[in-house]
Amino acid sequence: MLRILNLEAGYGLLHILKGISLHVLPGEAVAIIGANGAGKTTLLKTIAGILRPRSGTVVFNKQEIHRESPEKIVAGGCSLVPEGRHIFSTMTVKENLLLGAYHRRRKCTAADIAASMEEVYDLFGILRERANQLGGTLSGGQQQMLAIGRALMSKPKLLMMDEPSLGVAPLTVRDIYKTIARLKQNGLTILLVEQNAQMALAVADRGYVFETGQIVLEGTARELSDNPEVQRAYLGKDYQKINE
Amino acid sequence: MDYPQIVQYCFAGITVGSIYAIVGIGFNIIYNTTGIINFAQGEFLIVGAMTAISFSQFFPLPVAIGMAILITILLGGLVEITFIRQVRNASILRLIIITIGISILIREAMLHIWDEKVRFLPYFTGTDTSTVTVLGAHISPQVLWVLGVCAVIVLGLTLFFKYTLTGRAMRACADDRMAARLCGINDRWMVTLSFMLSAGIGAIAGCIISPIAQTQYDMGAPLAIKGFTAAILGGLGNSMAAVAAGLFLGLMEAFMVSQFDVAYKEAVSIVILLLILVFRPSGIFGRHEINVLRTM
Repeated sequence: MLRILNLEAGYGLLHILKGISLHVLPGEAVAIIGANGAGKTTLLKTIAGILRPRSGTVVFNKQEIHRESPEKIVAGGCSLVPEGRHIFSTMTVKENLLLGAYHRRRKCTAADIAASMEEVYDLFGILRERANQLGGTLSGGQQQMLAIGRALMSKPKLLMMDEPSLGVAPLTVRDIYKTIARLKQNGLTILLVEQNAQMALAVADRGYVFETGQIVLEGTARELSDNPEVQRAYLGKDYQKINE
Repeated sequence: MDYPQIVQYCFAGITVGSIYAIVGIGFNIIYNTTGIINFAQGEFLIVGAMTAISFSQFFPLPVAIGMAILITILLGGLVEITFIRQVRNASILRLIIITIGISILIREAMLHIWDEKVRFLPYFTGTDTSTVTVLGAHISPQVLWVLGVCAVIVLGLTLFFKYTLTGRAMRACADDRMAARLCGINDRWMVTLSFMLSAGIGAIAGCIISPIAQTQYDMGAPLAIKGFTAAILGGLGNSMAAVAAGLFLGLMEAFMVSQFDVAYKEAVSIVILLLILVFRPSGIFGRHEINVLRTM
């Protein structure tokens, strides 16, 4: 579904991604874990078209998308839930969701879009209750749900999520991850970026470990969670515990 | 002052005030999607009025005005596509200075196309001497046209931004540009659209005020300053507040004229503008976040 080859990207003089190659198969959930500043967010922004890569290719659904605009990429079925949620805080929950379906405005009827909205409401019941409330008045977790719901409104084939657990209460994080697991079961392909490696690896099939803009490790979620290096660095277990 | 006289001044005030409000809304529409203060906003009014005046010699008035609005809308789009869009990674300040340049350019172009003569559109209904009596005051029917059309513009824009997908998309761009792009909204097109919309309502305002205020190639800048004062007074970005501020400004001016010399009329808005900029840059109705403009 998604294949990235030798991707290099950065901001100005900052060279962040140094030759990233990875792939995501249809129906798969792939996690990218790594510390702050490893380039995880930069990768997702580059795939989504917000950032132009310096070199390398991004192939999505057999089409090269690394020169496309974000609008085209969303319309092609690749949707990003950005880090920090970025919901429209001055607009209502319903308006946020409607805008998520913006690229479908000519292809779909109002009934189709209302049906998608119902699906999102079924996933996140709280959004239905708060439909007419302004996005900015929601709690962190609810905003995250709204951000995911808004991305789902575009009917993506690949859903990319950037740190969905960031700034969300632990209990809500569990809810959100349950929903992510449900989306995966329904056949949605997922690319997930997380610092919360435990959560991410629990839902993912495979994972990549990023360090300073490079992939240092890859494998199935099982392999990664069993890897002592990953355990030490990202799962919060110290050497002692591993050695026991 | 007796009662009818007060009503008279009130009408004079809200008439110019509603024009200031429309200019102020024009500022806000562009400010909201781009963060730019478009100082060519006043020129849009004059271009609209001048074009309508020229067309009105060949076509019936409504057709002439319609065509003028259309041409001004195209001009607004053209300005954005040829100037604003081309400047990449520019600071807001640079873009604002570019709009000042554009306003000078349009003004000089108008001087060449229409010379410096004062012109005006015919009254929409009646003549310059016909009056309607409202609450004991005699007012021109054109005043009612101005008030009615301005009300329709404000109402139409409110509905547009609130209930249409395109209007919502424009608000989304104002709220969070990156998120809007991730929703598949073409933000550049939304910016172009905001210029076209501002130009369009500017042209309408220019046309309806032309019979009473008359039109000259260099009248855009003073109008822009009044509209800018209305926008700032209400709090940048808040169109409803701009309406209130515009009406307030118009009333202040009208009563200033009734009490003092006409010469002080122009000073009112400048004084208000300075006071607001010094003491309350976020505007009367504005909240704190608008202050970002100061740190820009």
